[in-house]
Amino acid sequence: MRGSPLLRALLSFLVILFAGYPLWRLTDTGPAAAIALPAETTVAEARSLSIELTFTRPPTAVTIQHLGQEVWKATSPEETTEAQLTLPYPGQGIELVFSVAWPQGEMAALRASLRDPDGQTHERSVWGEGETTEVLSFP
Amino acid sequence: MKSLILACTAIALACLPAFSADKLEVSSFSSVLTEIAEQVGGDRVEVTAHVKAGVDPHEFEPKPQDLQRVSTASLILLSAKHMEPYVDKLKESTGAKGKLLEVGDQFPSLKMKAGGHDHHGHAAPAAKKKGGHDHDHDHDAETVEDPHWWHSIANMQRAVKVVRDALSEVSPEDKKAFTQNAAAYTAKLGELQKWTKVKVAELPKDKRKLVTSHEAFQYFAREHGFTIYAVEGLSSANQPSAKEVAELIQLLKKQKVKAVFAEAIQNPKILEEITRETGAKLGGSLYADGLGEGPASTYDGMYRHNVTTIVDALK
Repeated sequence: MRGSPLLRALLSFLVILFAGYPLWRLTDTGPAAAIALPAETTVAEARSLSIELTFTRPPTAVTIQHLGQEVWKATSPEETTEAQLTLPYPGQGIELVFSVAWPQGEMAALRASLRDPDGQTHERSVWGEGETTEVLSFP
Repeated sequence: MKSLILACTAIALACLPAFSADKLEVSSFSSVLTEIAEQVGGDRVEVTAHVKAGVDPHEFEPKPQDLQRVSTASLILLSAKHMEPYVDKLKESTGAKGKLLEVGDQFPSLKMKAGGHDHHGHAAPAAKKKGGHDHDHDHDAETVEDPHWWHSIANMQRAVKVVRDALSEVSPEDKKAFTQNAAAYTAKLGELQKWTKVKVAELPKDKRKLVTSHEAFQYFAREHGFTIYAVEGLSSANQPSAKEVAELIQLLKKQKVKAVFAEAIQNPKILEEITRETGAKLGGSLYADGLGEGPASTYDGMYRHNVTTIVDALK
């Protein structure tokens, strides 16, 4: 092979470059089209939330749980009670577990009106008799 | 007096086989349907569990004694959505006597990729053709019906109604008992649904990411707000390619998934290897293909095991 060593080196580099691209495509471990990657997990900041609870019949006890932890509790609350909570409120909303103990024998209901950090109000209901536990999703 | 006692005893003994013979014979090819039939049928039925709890239904092939039993059954319960590739054998063996009920076909299906489920024997069109099915396949070349419908409690409640109606059709005189039993079992399933919602609420919504070795948990994921990532080829029958493993590792890192799950009947070795690479832990084994053994030998036990394993590992 004739020619300057510099030219030969350049030609070899170009050959490697052109052969390398298809090889890189073949062995690339990037995400396949079949698996769509959604947004990464982000941690939401704790924010102030206000929940107004209205009962058709006052219960003997009511608790609110968030992510398995009790975050609010009242014994013999009045017909209308307000709960102030500080919780993370991510974009996809939150779930709260309401456990209400009503006297047996008659169906009763609770209306939970949550005002989110943006000032929007979301209303959900729990119906039951005796000990009732329900998961409410906001918004 | 002695002769009276002897006569009464003789009458009672004569009646015993008659009661037994009066029982409705039910053949079940799904551990979940066996439980439904026993719960709804109560003491009016005698259920033969051909696919027992802990047995992989994908590996099951009926033996001559199974076919013999099926031939005398009044009702034959199949999980269906193409779960049982031997359905034609059963149809031939039942003749005109028993009512063959493909329970899962009575309610809507989710779709799953065909390729990852070749080991099911019901997935790829070619495999089905070999099996000689003559019923309608509602799928295109790439997707098939997901047969794991029982991971939705709402589907279980639908299945209870389907079995109740079939039993009532076969034995109309027992309709009242079947209706009462079905209502009681449906209420138990309702309690299980409530418990599940409370347990799942322990997990933030953005952590509800379920990475499993195949797409057996789509019905569960839809009902409880999980996103499911199943990697094809991670079953006991198929080895994953290097590219598939690399994709899963990238996915786990990007999503900050804390755990991946193996399935009780399958070999978790490959998942163990992946978790070593990613730092995610092996969350435990899930019952994907039916009831298990011990505490998971009931639907309630199996479901609570799966939910607790998933939630506790992803927290």
